Amino acid sequence: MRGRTFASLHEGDEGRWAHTIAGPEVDAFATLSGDDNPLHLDDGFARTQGFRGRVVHGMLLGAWLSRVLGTHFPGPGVLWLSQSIRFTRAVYVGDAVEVVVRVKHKAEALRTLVLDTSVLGPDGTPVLTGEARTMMLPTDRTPAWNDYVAIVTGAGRGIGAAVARGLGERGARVVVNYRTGADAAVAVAEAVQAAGGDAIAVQADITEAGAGAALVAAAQERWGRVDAIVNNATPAIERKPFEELEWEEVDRYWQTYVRSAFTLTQAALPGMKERGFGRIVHVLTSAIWGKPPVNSAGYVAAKSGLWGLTKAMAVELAPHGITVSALSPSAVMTDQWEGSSDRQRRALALALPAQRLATPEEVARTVAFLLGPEGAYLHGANVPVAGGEVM
Amino acid sequence: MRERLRDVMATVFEVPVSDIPDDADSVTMPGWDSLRHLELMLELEMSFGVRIPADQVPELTSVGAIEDALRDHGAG
Repeated sequence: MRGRTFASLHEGDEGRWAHTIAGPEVDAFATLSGDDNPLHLDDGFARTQGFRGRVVHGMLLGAWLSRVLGTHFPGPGVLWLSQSIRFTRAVYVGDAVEVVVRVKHKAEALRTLVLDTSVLGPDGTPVLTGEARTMMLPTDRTPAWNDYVAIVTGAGRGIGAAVARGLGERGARVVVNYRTGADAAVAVAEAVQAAGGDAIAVQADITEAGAGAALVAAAQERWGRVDAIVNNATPAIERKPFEELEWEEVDRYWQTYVRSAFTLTQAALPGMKERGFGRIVHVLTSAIWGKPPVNSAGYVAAKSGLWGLTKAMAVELAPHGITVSALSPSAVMTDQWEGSSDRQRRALALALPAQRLATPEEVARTVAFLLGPEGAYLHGANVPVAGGEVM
Repeated sequence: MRERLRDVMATVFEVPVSDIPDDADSVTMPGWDSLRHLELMLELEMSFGVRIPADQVPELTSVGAIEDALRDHGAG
Protein backbone atom coordinates (compact mmCIF):
# COMPACT_ATOMS: atom_id res chain seq x y z
CA MET A 1 0.00 0.00 0.00
CA ARG A 2 1.17 3.52 -0.78
CA GLY A 3 1.97 6.03 1.96
CA ARG A 4 3.31 5.58 5.44
CA THR A 5 2.07 3.78 8.51
CA PHE A 6 1.56 5.66 11.75
CA ALA A 7 4.25 3.58 13.45
CA SER A 8 6.82 4.43 10.79
CA LEU A 9 6.36 8.19 11.09
CA HIS A 10 8.59 10.28 13.29
CA GLU A 11 8.76 13.95 14.15
CA GLY A 12 10.85 15.68 11.49
CA ASP A 13 9.92 13.25 8.71
CA GLU A 14 9.00 14.96 5.49
CA GLY A 15 7.07 14.23 2.31
CA ARG A 16 7.35 16.24 -0.91
CA TRP A 17 5.52 16.40 -4.23
CA ALA A 18 6.57 18.63 -7.11
CA HIS A 19 4.25 19.80 -9.88
CA THR A 20 4.12 22.35 -12.66
CA ILE A 21 0.77 24.12 -12.88
CA ALA A 22 -1.07 23.81 -16.19
CA GLY A 23 -3.74 26.19 -17.45
CA PRO A 24 -6.40 23.47 -17.91
CA GLU A 25 -6.02 22.53 -14.25
CA VAL A 26 -6.94 26.08 -13.23
CA ASP A 27 -9.87 26.03 -15.69
CA ALA A 28 -11.04 22.68 -14.29
CA PHE A 29 -10.83 23.93 -10.73
CA ALA A 30 -12.90 26.98 -11.67
CA THR A 31 -15.55 24.67 -13.12
CA LEU A 32 -15.46 22.29 -10.15
CA SER A 33 -15.58 24.96 -7.48
CA GLY A 34 -17.70 27.47 -9.37
CA ASP A 35 -15.09 30.14 -8.63
CA ASP A 36 -14.89 31.78 -12.06
CA ASN A 37 -13.46 35.02 -10.73
CA PRO A 38 -11.75 36.64 -13.77
CA LEU A 39 -8.64 37.05 -11.62
CA HIS A 40 -8.18 33.25 -12.10
CA LEU A 41 -9.36 32.96 -15.70
CA ASP A 42 -8.58 36.19 -17.53
CA ASP A 43 -4.95 37.21 -18.10
CA GLY A 44 -5.94 40.68 -19.22
CA PHE A 45 -8.04 41.36 -16.16
CA ALA A 46 -5.35 40.01 -13.85
CA ARG A 47 -2.73 42.27 -15.45
CA THR A 48 -4.90 45.32 -14.93
CA GLN A 49 -4.83 44.44 -11.22
CA GLY A 50 -1.03 44.42 -11.17
CA PHE A 51 -0.49 40.64 -11.48
CA ARG A 52 1.77 38.95 -14.03
CA GLY A 53 -1.12 36.97 -15.45
CA ARG A 54 -4.09 35.05 -14.18
CA VAL A 55 -3.62 33.90 -10.59
CA VAL A 56 -3.97 30.28 -9.63
CA HIS A 57 -6.74 29.62 -7.08
CA GLY A 58 -5.17 29.36 -3.63
CA MET A 59 -7.45 26.44 -2.87
CA LEU A 60 -6.09 24.57 -5.90
CA LEU A 61 -2.82 24.52 -3.98
CA GLY A 62 -4.90 23.34 -1.02
CA ALA A 63 -6.35 20.59 -3.19
CA TRP A 64 -2.85 19.42 -4.07
CA LEU A 65 -2.02 19.47 -0.37
CA SER A 66 -5.03 17.18 0.09
CA ARG A 67 -3.64 14.93 -2.63
CA VAL A 68 -0.29 14.65 -0.86
CA LEU A 69 -1.86 14.00 2.55
CA GLY A 70 -4.27 11.39 1.25
CA THR A 71 -2.06 9.48 -1.14
CA HIS A 72 1.57 10.04 -0.32
CA PHE A 73 2.42 11.52 3.07
CA PRO A 74 1.12 10.25 5.44
CA GLY A 75 -1.07 8.54 2.82
CA PRO A 76 -4.15 6.32 2.72
CA GLY A 77 -6.08 6.14 5.98
CA VAL A 78 -5.40 9.75 6.94
CA LEU A 79 -8.31 11.76 8.36
CA TRP A 80 -7.83 15.51 7.91
CA LEU A 81 -9.11 17.14 11.11
CA SER A 82 -8.16 20.77 10.60
CA GLN A 83 -6.00 23.05 8.51
CA SER A 84 -4.77 26.59 8.87
CA ILE A 85 -3.72 28.28 5.64
CA ARG A 86 -1.96 31.53 4.82
CA PHE A 87 -1.32 32.49 1.21
CA THR A 88 1.85 34.53 1.01
CA ARG A 89 2.33 35.15 -2.70
CA ALA A 90 0.49 34.80 -5.99
CA VAL A 91 1.16 31.73 -8.12
CA TYR A 92 0.77 31.65 -11.91
CA VAL A 93 0.06 29.15 -14.63
CA GLY A 94 3.36 27.52 -15.62
CA ASP A 95 4.91 27.90 -12.17
CA ALA A 96 6.70 24.87 -10.71
CA VAL A 97 5.53 24.36 -7.13
CA GLU A 98 6.38 21.82 -4.46
CA VAL A 99 4.08 20.66 -1.66
CA VAL A 100 6.03 19.97 1.53
CA VAL A 101 4.55 18.18 4.55
CA ARG A 102 6.61 17.76 7.71
CA VAL A 103 5.70 15.97 10.96
CA LYS A 104 5.79 18.58 13.71
CA HIS A 105 4.25 16.53 16.54
CA LYS A 106 3.21 12.91 16.83
CA ALA A 107 0.68 12.05 19.56
CA GLU A 108 1.00 8.26 19.86
CA ALA A 109 -1.99 7.83 22.14
CA LEU A 110 -4.28 9.73 19.80
CA ARG A 111 -2.89 8.38 16.49
CA THR A 112 -2.72 12.06 15.60
CA LEU A 113 -0.14 14.05 13.68
CA VAL A 114 0.39 17.80 13.67
CA LEU A 115 1.94 18.64 10.31
CA ASP A 116 3.70 21.74 9.04
CA THR A 117 2.30 22.20 5.56
CA SER A 118 3.66 24.47 2.89
CA VAL A 119 3.75 24.95 -0.84
CA LEU A 120 6.98 26.35 -2.25
CA GLY A 121 7.04 28.53 -5.34
CA PRO A 122 9.51 28.39 -8.24
CA ASP A 123 12.22 30.15 -6.19
CA GLY A 124 11.83 27.75 -3.25
CA THR A 125 10.15 30.24 -0.94
CA PRO A 126 6.67 29.52 0.46
CA VAL A 127 3.55 30.61 -1.41
CA LEU A 128 1.34 28.83 1.13
CA THR A 129 2.03 28.02 4.77
CA GLY A 130 -0.09 26.40 7.44
CA GLU A 131 -0.61 23.63 9.92
CA ALA A 132 -2.65 20.45 9.49
CA ARG A 133 -3.98 18.14 12.16
CA THR A 134 -4.61 14.63 10.99
CA MET A 135 -5.55 11.33 12.49
CA MET A 136 -4.23 8.07 11.05
CA LEU A 137 -7.01 5.51 10.80
CA PRO A 138 -5.91 1.87 10.99
CA THR A 139 -6.21 0.25 7.57
CA ASP A 140 -5.99 -3.39 6.54
CA ARG A 141 -2.65 -3.81 4.82
CA THR A 142 -2.89 -7.55 4.15
CA PRO A 143 -0.72 -8.23 1.09
CA ALA A 144 -2.02 -10.22 -1.86
CA TRP A 145 -1.14 -13.90 -1.49
CA ASN A 146 1.35 -13.78 -4.35
CA ASP A 147 3.15 -11.01 -2.49
CA TYR A 148 2.97 -12.64 0.94
CA VAL A 149 6.07 -13.82 2.85
CA ALA A 150 5.67 -16.33 5.68
CA ILE A 151 8.02 -18.28 7.91
CA VAL A 152 6.71 -21.67 9.03
CA THR A 153 8.71 -23.42 11.72
CA GLY A 154 8.85 -27.20 11.79
CA ALA A 155 7.64 -27.27 8.19
CA GLY A 156 9.47 -30.34 7.00
CA ARG A 157 6.61 -32.63 7.97
CA GLY A 158 3.15 -32.90 9.49
CA ILE A 159 1.08 -29.80 10.12
CA GLY A 160 3.93 -27.43 9.23
CA ALA A 161 4.44 -29.06 5.84
CA ALA A 162 0.71 -28.85 5.11
CA VAL A 163 0.69 -25.17 6.11
CA ALA A 164 3.64 -24.45 3.80
CA ARG A 165 2.02 -26.34 0.89
CA GLY A 166 -1.30 -24.60 1.50
CA LEU A 167 0.37 -21.20 1.37
CA GLY A 168 2.18 -22.27 -1.80
CA GLU A 169 -1.16 -23.15 -3.42
CA ARG A 170 -2.22 -19.57 -2.72
CA GLY A 171 0.96 -18.26 -4.37
CA ALA A 172 2.79 -17.21 -1.20
CA ARG A 173 6.52 -17.22 -0.52
CA VAL A 174 7.50 -19.48 2.34
CA VAL A 175 10.52 -20.14 4.51
CA VAL A 176 10.28 -23.87 5.19
CA ASN A 177 12.14 -24.21 8.46
CA TYR A 178 13.33 -27.60 9.64
CA ARG A 179 15.69 -28.90 12.32
CA THR A 180 16.44 -32.35 10.89
CA GLY A 181 15.29 -34.08 7.73
CA ALA A 182 16.64 -31.85 4.97
CA ASP A 183 15.31 -34.05 2.18
CA ALA A 184 11.74 -33.80 3.43
CA ALA A 185 12.01 -30.03 3.87
CA VAL A 186 13.43 -29.58 0.38
CA ALA A 187 10.58 -31.69 -0.98
CA VAL A 188 8.08 -29.41 0.78
CA ALA A 189 9.80 -26.33 -0.66
CA GLU A 190 9.65 -27.89 -4.14
CA ALA A 191 5.97 -28.65 -3.64
CA VAL A 192 5.35 -25.02 -2.72
CA GLN A 193 7.10 -23.92 -5.91
CA ALA A 194 5.26 -26.48 -8.03
CA ALA A 195 1.97 -25.16 -6.62
CA GLY A 196 2.75 -21.65 -7.80
CA GLY A 197 4.46 -20.13 -4.77
CA ASP A 198 8.10 -19.73 -3.91
CA ALA A 199 10.01 -21.32 -1.03
CA ILE A 200 13.37 -21.90 0.54
CA ALA A 201 14.16 -24.67 3.01
CA VAL A 202 16.18 -23.27 5.90
CA GLN A 203 17.77 -25.44 8.56
CA ALA A 204 17.67 -23.97 12.07
CA ASP A 205 17.12 -25.39 15.52
CA ILE A 206 14.63 -22.80 16.64
CA THR A 207 15.57 -23.34 20.29
CA GLU A 208 19.08 -22.03 19.70
CA ALA A 209 20.04 -18.40 20.23
CA GLY A 210 20.09 -16.52 16.96
CA ALA A 211 17.90 -19.01 15.09
CA GLY A 212 14.95 -16.61 14.94
CA ALA A 213 17.11 -13.82 13.58
CA ALA A 214 18.62 -16.20 11.02
CA LEU A 215 15.20 -17.23 9.70
CA VAL A 216 14.08 -13.62 9.41
CA ALA A 217 17.35 -12.73 7.67
CA ALA A 218 16.85 -15.59 5.19
CA ALA A 219 13.37 -14.32 4.29
CA GLN A 220 14.54 -10.72 4.03
CA GLU A 221 17.48 -11.65 1.84
CA ARG A 222 15.26 -13.55 -0.58
CA TRP A 223 12.06 -11.49 -0.54
CA GLY A 224 12.87 -8.33 1.39
CA ARG A 225 10.53 -8.78 4.33
CA VAL A 226 8.49 -11.05 6.62
CA ASP A 227 4.71 -10.73 6.75
CA ALA A 228 3.83 -13.72 8.88
CA ILE A 229 5.19 -16.30 11.26
CA VAL A 230 3.63 -19.66 11.99
CA ASN A 231 5.11 -21.09 15.17
CA ASN A 232 4.52 -24.78 14.66
CA ALA A 233 7.79 -26.55 15.58
CA THR A 234 7.57 -29.17 18.27
CA PRO A 235 9.90 -31.65 19.89
CA ALA A 236 8.82 -35.30 20.02
CA ILE A 237 5.92 -35.48 22.48
CA GLU A 238 6.48 -38.09 25.16
CA ARG A 239 3.86 -38.91 27.74
CA LYS A 240 5.29 -39.35 31.21
CA PRO A 241 3.93 -39.20 34.78
CA PHE A 242 4.64 -35.89 36.46
CA GLU A 243 6.76 -37.39 39.22
CA GLU A 244 9.10 -38.99 36.67
CA LEU A 245 9.56 -35.81 34.66
CA GLU A 246 12.97 -34.13 34.58
CA TRP A 247 12.96 -30.36 34.31
CA GLU A 248 15.18 -30.62 31.23
CA GLU A 249 12.35 -32.46 29.47
CA VAL A 250 9.85 -29.79 30.45
CA ASP A 251 12.26 -27.07 29.45
CA ARG A 252 12.60 -28.54 25.96
CA TYR A 253 8.91 -27.81 25.39
CA TRP A 254 9.25 -24.28 26.76
CA GLN A 255 12.29 -23.62 24.59
CA THR A 256 10.58 -24.90 21.45
CA TYR A 257 7.16 -23.34 21.94
CA VAL A 258 7.57 -20.19 24.02
CA ARG A 259 11.17 -19.09 23.60
CA SER A 260 11.15 -19.64 19.85
CA ALA A 261 7.91 -17.70 19.43
CA PHE A 262 9.45 -14.94 21.51
CA THR A 263 12.76 -14.70 19.64
CA LEU A 264 11.36 -15.19 16.16
CA THR A 265 8.69 -12.53 16.61
CA GLN A 266 11.13 -10.06 18.12
CA ALA A 267 13.40 -10.51 15.11
CA ALA A 268 10.57 -9.88 12.64
CA LEU A 269 8.86 -7.13 14.62
CA PRO A 270 10.75 -4.01 13.45
CA GLY A 271 9.87 -4.69 9.81
CA MET A 272 6.27 -5.57 10.62
CA LYS A 273 5.84 -2.35 12.60
CA GLU A 274 7.42 -0.35 9.83
CA ARG A 275 4.97 -1.74 7.28
CA GLY A 276 2.00 -1.73 9.66
CA PHE A 277 1.23 -5.36 8.96
CA GLY A 278 2.08 -8.69 10.55
CA ARG A 279 0.43 -12.00 11.33
CA ILE A 280 1.65 -14.34 14.05
CA VAL A 281 -0.02 -17.72 14.44
CA HIS A 282 0.81 -20.12 17.24
CA VAL A 283 -0.08 -23.78 16.91
CA LEU A 284 -1.41 -24.84 20.30
CA THR A 285 -3.37 -27.98 21.22
CA SER A 286 -6.85 -28.94 22.33
CA ALA A 287 -5.12 -30.43 25.39
CA ILE A 288 -4.95 -26.97 26.99
CA TRP A 289 -8.75 -26.59 26.89
CA GLY A 290 -10.55 -27.89 29.99
CA LYS A 291 -9.20 -30.98 31.73
CA PRO A 292 -5.82 -31.90 30.26
CA PRO A 293 -4.76 -35.46 29.50
CA VAL A 294 -2.67 -37.24 32.15
CA ASN A 295 1.08 -37.70 31.80
CA SER A 296 1.45 -34.51 29.72
CA ALA A 297 2.48 -31.91 32.30
CA GLY A 298 5.48 -30.49 30.43
CA TYR A 299 3.67 -30.35 27.10
CA VAL A 300 0.47 -28.87 28.51
CA ALA A 301 2.34 -26.33 30.66
CA ALA A 302 4.42 -25.05 27.74
CA LYS A 303 1.49 -24.90 25.31
CA SER A 304 -0.51 -23.05 27.99
CA GLY A 305 2.43 -20.69 28.37
CA LEU A 306 2.37 -20.07 24.64
CA TRP A 307 -1.34 -19.29 24.84
CA GLY A 308 -0.58 -16.72 27.55
CA LEU A 309 2.12 -15.24 25.34
CA THR A 310 -0.36 -15.18 22.43
CA LYS A 311 -2.77 -12.99 24.35
CA ALA A 312 -0.08 -10.72 25.80
CA MET A 313 1.49 -10.20 22.39
CA ALA A 314 -1.92 -9.66 20.76
CA VAL A 315 -2.71 -6.77 23.09
CA GLU A 316 0.61 -5.04 22.56
CA LEU A 317 1.01 -5.57 18.83
CA ALA A 318 -2.56 -4.89 17.66
CA PRO A 319 -2.01 -1.10 17.43
CA HIS A 320 0.73 -1.79 14.89
CA GLY A 321 -1.56 -3.76 12.55
CA ILE A 322 -0.14 -7.06 13.78
CA THR A 323 -2.49 -9.85 14.77
CA VAL A 324 -1.41 -12.63 17.09
CA SER A 325 -3.70 -15.63 17.22
CA ALA A 326 -3.64 -19.34 17.75
CA LEU A 327 -5.36 -22.55 16.86
CA SER A 328 -5.82 -25.66 18.94
CA PRO A 329 -5.89 -28.86 16.91
CA SER A 330 -6.95 -32.12 18.45
CA ALA A 331 -5.26 -35.30 17.17
CA VAL A 332 -4.20 -34.79 13.56
CA MET A 333 -3.44 -37.56 11.09
CA THR A 334 0.29 -36.97 10.82
CA ASP A 335 3.22 -39.34 10.94
CA GLN A 336 3.22 -39.07 14.73
CA TRP A 337 0.64 -41.84 14.70
CA GLU A 338 2.82 -44.19 12.64
CA GLY A 339 3.32 -47.28 14.70
CA SER A 340 -0.09 -47.08 16.32
CA SER A 341 -2.68 -49.59 15.20
CA ASP A 342 -5.75 -48.83 13.11
CA ARG A 343 -7.79 -49.83 16.11
CA GLN A 344 -6.04 -47.26 18.31
CA ARG A 345 -6.58 -44.53 15.72
CA ARG A 346 -10.21 -45.54 15.31
CA ALA A 347 -10.75 -45.42 19.06
CA LEU A 348 -9.17 -41.96 19.15
CA ALA A 349 -11.46 -40.79 16.35
CA LEU A 350 -14.62 -42.21 17.91
CA ALA A 351 -13.94 -40.24 21.08
CA LEU A 352 -14.50 -37.06 19.08
CA PRO A 353 -17.97 -35.72 18.21
CA ALA A 354 -16.83 -35.50 14.58
CA GLN A 355 -15.99 -39.22 14.68
CA ARG A 356 -12.78 -38.70 12.74
CA LEU A 357 -9.33 -37.19 13.14
CA ALA A 358 -8.35 -33.91 11.55
CA THR A 359 -6.24 -33.90 8.42
CA PRO A 360 -3.13 -31.68 8.30
CA GLU A 361 -4.74 -29.84 5.40
CA GLU A 362 -7.75 -28.92 7.54
CA VAL A 363 -5.43 -27.40 10.11
CA ALA A 364 -3.50 -25.67 7.33
CA ARG A 365 -6.68 -24.10 5.97
CA THR A 366 -7.40 -22.60 9.39
CA VAL A 367 -3.87 -21.22 9.53
CA ALA A 368 -4.37 -19.68 6.08
CA PHE A 369 -7.64 -18.17 7.30
CA LEU A 370 -5.82 -16.52 10.21
CA LEU A 371 -3.02 -15.30 7.92
CA GLY A 372 -5.25 -13.98 5.15
CA PRO A 373 -7.64 -11.03 4.92
CA GLU A 374 -10.29 -13.04 6.80
CA GLY A 375 -8.10 -12.95 9.90
CA ALA A 376 -7.57 -9.19 9.89
CA TYR A 377 -9.75 -8.58 12.94
CA LEU A 378 -8.84 -11.68 14.95
CA HIS A 379 -6.58 -10.63 17.79
CA GLY A 380 -5.83 -13.13 20.55
CA ALA A 381 -8.17 -15.74 19.10
CA ASN A 382 -7.69 -19.44 19.76
CA VAL A 383 -9.55 -21.47 17.16
CA PRO A 384 -10.31 -25.07 18.17
CA VAL A 385 -9.71 -27.26 15.11
CA ALA A 386 -10.80 -30.17 17.18
CA GLY A 387 -13.80 -31.94 15.71
CA GLY A 388 -15.92 -30.84 18.65
CA GLU A 389 -13.54 -32.22 21.28
CA VAL A 390 -13.36 -28.83 22.94
CA MET A 391 -15.72 -25.86 22.74
CA MET B 1 0.63 25.35 35.87
CA ARG B 2 -3.05 25.80 36.72
CA GLU B 3 -3.21 29.08 34.82
CA ARG B 4 -1.48 27.66 31.73
CA LEU B 5 -3.81 24.68 31.83
CA ARG B 6 -6.86 26.93 32.01
CA ASP B 7 -5.48 28.94 29.07
CA VAL B 8 -5.16 25.79 26.99
CA MET B 9 -8.64 24.62 27.96
CA ALA B 10 -10.12 28.01 27.16
CA THR B 11 -8.55 27.86 23.69
CA VAL B 12 -9.80 24.33 23.04
CA PHE B 13 -13.32 24.96 24.36
CA GLU B 14 -13.43 28.43 22.78
CA VAL B 15 -14.56 30.16 25.99
CA PRO B 16 -13.02 32.88 28.18
CA VAL B 17 -10.55 31.65 30.81
CA SER B 18 -12.96 32.88 33.45
CA ASP B 19 -15.42 30.19 32.28
CA ILE B 20 -12.99 27.42 33.29
CA PRO B 21 -13.49 26.85 37.03
CA ASP B 22 -10.88 24.99 39.07
CA ASP B 23 -13.24 22.05 39.45
CA ALA B 24 -14.20 21.86 35.76
CA ASP B 25 -14.77 18.34 34.47
CA SER B 26 -16.23 16.63 31.42
CA VAL B 27 -19.65 16.31 33.06
CA THR B 28 -20.13 19.95 33.97
CA MET B 29 -18.12 21.64 31.22
CA PRO B 30 -20.27 22.43 28.16
CA GLY B 31 -18.75 21.14 24.93
CA TRP B 32 -16.36 18.65 26.56
CA ASP B 33 -17.35 15.80 24.25
CA SER B 34 -15.19 12.95 23.00
CA LEU B 35 -13.85 14.82 19.96
CA ARG B 36 -13.06 17.92 21.99
CA HIS B 37 -11.38 15.67 24.54
CA LEU B 38 -8.96 14.35 21.89
CA GLU B 39 -8.26 17.91 20.80
CA LEU B 40 -7.55 18.84 24.42
CA MET B 41 -5.14 15.92 24.85
CA LEU B 42 -3.26 16.98 21.71
CA GLU B 43 -3.02 20.60 22.88
CA LEU B 44 -1.77 19.46 26.29
CA GLU B 45 0.99 17.41 24.65
CA MET B 46 2.07 20.31 22.48
CA SER B 47 1.74 23.06 25.08
CA PHE B 48 3.39 21.21 27.96
CA GLY B 49 5.83 19.06 25.96
CA VAL B 50 4.59 15.78 27.44
CA ARG B 51 3.48 12.43 26.00
CA ILE B 52 0.18 11.16 27.34
CA PRO B 53 -0.08 7.34 27.31
CA ALA B 54 -3.11 5.82 25.58
CA ASP B 55 -4.50 4.24 28.74
CA GLN B 56 -4.49 7.62 30.49
CA VAL B 57 -6.39 9.51 27.79
CA PRO B 58 -9.89 8.45 28.94
CA GLU B 59 -9.06 9.24 32.59
CA LEU B 60 -8.05 12.88 32.19
CA THR B 61 -11.53 14.31 32.46
CA SER B 62 -11.09 17.03 35.08
CA VAL B 63 -8.76 19.93 35.76
CA GLY B 64 -7.43 18.12 38.84
CA ALA B 65 -6.74 14.85 37.03
CA ILE B 66 -5.03 16.64 34.15
CA GLU B 67 -2.91 18.70 36.51
CA ASP B 68 -1.80 15.58 38.39
CA ALA B 69 -0.94 13.79 35.15
CA LEU B 70 1.01 16.74 33.78
CA ARG B 71 3.00 16.90 37.00
CA ASP B 72 3.65 13.12 36.84
CA HIS B 73 4.92 13.51 33.29
CA GLY B 74 7.33 16.23 34.33
CA ALA B 75 5.54 19.26 32.94
CA GLY B 76 6.71 22.51 34.48
